[in-house]
Amino acid sequence: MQDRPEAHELLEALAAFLLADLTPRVPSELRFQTLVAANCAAIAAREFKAGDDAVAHEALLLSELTDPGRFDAGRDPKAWEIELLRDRDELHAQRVALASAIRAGEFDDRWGQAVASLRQATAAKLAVAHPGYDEVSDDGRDG
Amino acid sequence: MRCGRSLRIVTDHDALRDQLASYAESKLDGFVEIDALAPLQGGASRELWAFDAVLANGRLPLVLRRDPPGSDDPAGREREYQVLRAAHRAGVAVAEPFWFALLGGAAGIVMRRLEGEAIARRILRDERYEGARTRLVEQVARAAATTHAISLDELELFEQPSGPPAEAAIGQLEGELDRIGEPHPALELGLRWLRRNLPQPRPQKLVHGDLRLGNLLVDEAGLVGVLDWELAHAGDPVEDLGWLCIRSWRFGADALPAAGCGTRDELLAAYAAASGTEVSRDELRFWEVLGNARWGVICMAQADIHLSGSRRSLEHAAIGRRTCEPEWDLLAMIADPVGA
Repeated sequence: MQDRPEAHELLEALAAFLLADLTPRVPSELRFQTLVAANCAAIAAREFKAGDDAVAHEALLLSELTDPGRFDAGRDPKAWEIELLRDRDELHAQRVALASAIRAGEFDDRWGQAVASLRQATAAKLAVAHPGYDEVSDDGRDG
Repeated sequence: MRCGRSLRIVTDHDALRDQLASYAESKLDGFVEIDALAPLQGGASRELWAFDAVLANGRLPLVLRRDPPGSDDPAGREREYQVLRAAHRAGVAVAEPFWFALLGGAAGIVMRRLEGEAIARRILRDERYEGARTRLVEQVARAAATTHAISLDELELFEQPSGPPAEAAIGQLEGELDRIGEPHPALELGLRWLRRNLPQPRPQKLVHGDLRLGNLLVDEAGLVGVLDWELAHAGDPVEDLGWLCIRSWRFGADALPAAGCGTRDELLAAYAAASGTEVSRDELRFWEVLGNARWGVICMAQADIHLSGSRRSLEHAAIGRRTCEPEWDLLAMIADPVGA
């Protein structure tokens, strides 16, 4: 365990410096890239802050699709999350399996469940990458 | 480092001016000199230079769009030049193309410099473009319709289309996902939906391929020019309309899908009026979902350029984290497995 500031606190400080102190002072041709740099630091800060809980949450969501029998309703979801987290390779393999099963049409008859779980998993990614993006949901029927 | 970079720019600048001068001398009557050569920002994939050709009887404002060193694609630039010429002849709002040129070993296009605003957020928010915003959807629909009416036979450098474009596009995105090798279940679900909801194939047309706010030059009166024709191809014309509507190109004006300025119904009505072609909302939905899937894959591919080490770039790296935006948008559109 490191001393404070923690990783997310360091990155928040970096993002604030890039945005507030550096951006107004760089030549105009570098301004956009400096803003991108600040945004990258802010994304990484949010990811550190969300920590392993977010990764475990995604793993649990996806395992409900790929391996529904594995999730024991009688057991504390937290315990499952901890087990899922132990093996990051498995997490990646799970995503690979899900992606190819979808392409093969194996979720055609569990469509609603697939959409719902992936919406949750995507909302969790947006919470780190672009907070607030999921406040708008356009189903393409209006306007 | 800064010193080295400045030096390179100066060298490029002088050499380029000399090359442009010798080109202009052979092409323009009464040519005197190249003046006010300066790099422009805005082209993500191409270099842009503004300059004036000073003539005995006036000035010709021009712009050079050129491949950056190291990613030279003369065949691509020549095809783009040919498309631009055809579009200009047909009366699409575009910069008049003058020459296809090989300058300093890199292929480029010299065209008339148009005055206008290309920064989407300004077009959507500045008061001076208020009137333009009320006209833009109709004008873009007309530009699309005029483009789609250009005969593919005019464009001899074009590959002849084979097979339905929708299926080809889905297959191409699946191939790109496999090549990059990062699993994306949400994009796969979108592609699966597309395979189950294929539209009736339409006759293939010349498609702009990147028609969106951000590639539209606008002034107070509205559309001045459609930019960036490098992705033009033979395909389904509705592709252009779907791409125009995806949320990433609304730049925050989320309630107005058509370039952040109008509704989908307004776009389809304007397109029908300009082209005589009725497009259904289901068909538009198909191409909008495909547009989101495509934008997601492009985000991944951009990040991959950085991650694979082929070109290290903060901008490319950062865009990888935007993949989940079109994923979110397409998931919202595909809740019904079949039918729209």
